[in-house]
Amino acid sequence: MVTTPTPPATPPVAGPIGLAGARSPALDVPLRYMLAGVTFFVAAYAAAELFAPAFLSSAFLIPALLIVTHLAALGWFTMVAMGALFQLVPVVLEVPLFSERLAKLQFYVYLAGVLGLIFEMGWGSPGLLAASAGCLVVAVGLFLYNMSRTLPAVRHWPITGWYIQAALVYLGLLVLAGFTLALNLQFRFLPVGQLAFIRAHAHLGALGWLSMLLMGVSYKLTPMFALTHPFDEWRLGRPIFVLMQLLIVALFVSLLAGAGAAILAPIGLFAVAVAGLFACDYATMVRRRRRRPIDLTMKHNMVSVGSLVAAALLGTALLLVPAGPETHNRLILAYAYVGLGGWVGFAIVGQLYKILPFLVWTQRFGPKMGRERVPLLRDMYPLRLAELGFWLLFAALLLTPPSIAFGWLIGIRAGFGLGLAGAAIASFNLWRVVFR
Amino acid sequence: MIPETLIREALKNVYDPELGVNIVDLGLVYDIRQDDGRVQIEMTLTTPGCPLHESMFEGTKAALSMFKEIEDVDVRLVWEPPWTPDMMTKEGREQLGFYE
Repeated sequence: MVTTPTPPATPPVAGPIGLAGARSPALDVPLRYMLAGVTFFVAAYAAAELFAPAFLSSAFLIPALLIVTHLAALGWFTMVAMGALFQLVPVVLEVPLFSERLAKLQFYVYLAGVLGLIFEMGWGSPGLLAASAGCLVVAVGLFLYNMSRTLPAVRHWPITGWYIQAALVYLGLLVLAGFTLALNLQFRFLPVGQLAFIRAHAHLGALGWLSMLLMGVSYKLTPMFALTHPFDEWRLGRPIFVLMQLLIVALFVSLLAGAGAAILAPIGLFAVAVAGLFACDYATMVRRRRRRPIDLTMKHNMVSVGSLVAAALLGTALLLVPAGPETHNRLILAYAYVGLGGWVGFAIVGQLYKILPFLVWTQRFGPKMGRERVPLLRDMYPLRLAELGFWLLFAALLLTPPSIAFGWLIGIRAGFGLGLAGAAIASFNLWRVVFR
Repeated sequence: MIPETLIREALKNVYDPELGVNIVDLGLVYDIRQDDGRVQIEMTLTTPGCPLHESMFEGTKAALSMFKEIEDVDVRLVWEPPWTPDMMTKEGREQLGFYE
């Protein structure tokens, strides 16, 4: 398991210029993941709009909800996360990727797995389920192998590196848990309820894999882009790291064991405290920024961090406030939307508006630097359109969860419609960057 | 020998594409030395692991290629002293909309 992070003993040493640039992978390695991810982003919202009545259902394991959640979790979040790591690990941790060829091969295996799984969920084909799940396990295995061969060469571990390391460990556990869950659906050999297992699995993915990654990346990118100074990312970054491990393990075990509100409510309050602590640290990064304008990425991240706290509060309230089974189930879906669509979704869109233009800029305009006037990163896409996309997604975030909670179908349709429009704009903008 | 002011002026053609401020006004250029047609630039980055390092270094070399007297440019990356926003020039701060 992951140990307590410690700051590097010495500052990074100066290096010869040529070596520094050689660490970045070829542009097409991360790009294919990111572009596929933003396409799945639109597909997830389109499916949500199409299957909007399913969000009023009292059952979770229905094809419509499974399609939407897997399009988002596997196609959108995890696809982009893996692409971002192929870029960020070499650059931030200053170590070359073990194998670019493996990363390219992995993409096709993973894509086949995601598409197969979605098709199976919609049209039912047991043989395809096994093949798709196999593809996903192999693809994530390749990813973790590539990372495990890359990371030992890291000499100085920034706080971001510790979070990334932990996220990768949880991704491995997530796949193992998912595989066990699939087997248990078939053979029923574990003495735990299927729904309890699914809840534990979903929280492992959302907190262990995605949240650890987003928090870690935030500790690097937010101060860097906002010119935050002074800021010691270790001061709260380290205790938050430790608290997150306790939270993830406690929540996973308790959910798996089917624990009641007496055990889960204190864990929920603990989650609120950890989320609040991270929000405080993020607020410090924003408050101490030297760069005055609040740019598009920061706007997305502010909504994202606010959603993290809101999701923790909502999740805890679910345990404490009495509600009938139908209302309770709808509240769970609203909670999931705030957590995934708000916290994870906004963070990913915001960071992509930095990372993707940078990748393309480096390839296309970097060699022209110093010789001729080259565009700025913010010139790589139409800013006004991007702002419109942000506000549409924000409106969707405000409208959809209460509509789900109160069972208001028109509001759900309108919310997902706004989300679809926002996702389409973000996707269009990010695709357009590639052809700039 | 080329006056250092001219070299600094040429280096203003190299800028951080994210911030929109050139490397001189950002305060990234720590030292410039000249020796018999060879120029050594000592510079830093806003943060270790800055994703734009290669473009900035290559841009620095390209910007100085306009001087016929310069035969070779050696750009050295240093981390001491660590860069802080206080190292920016007044012009740089103004361009960035700087919090004092």
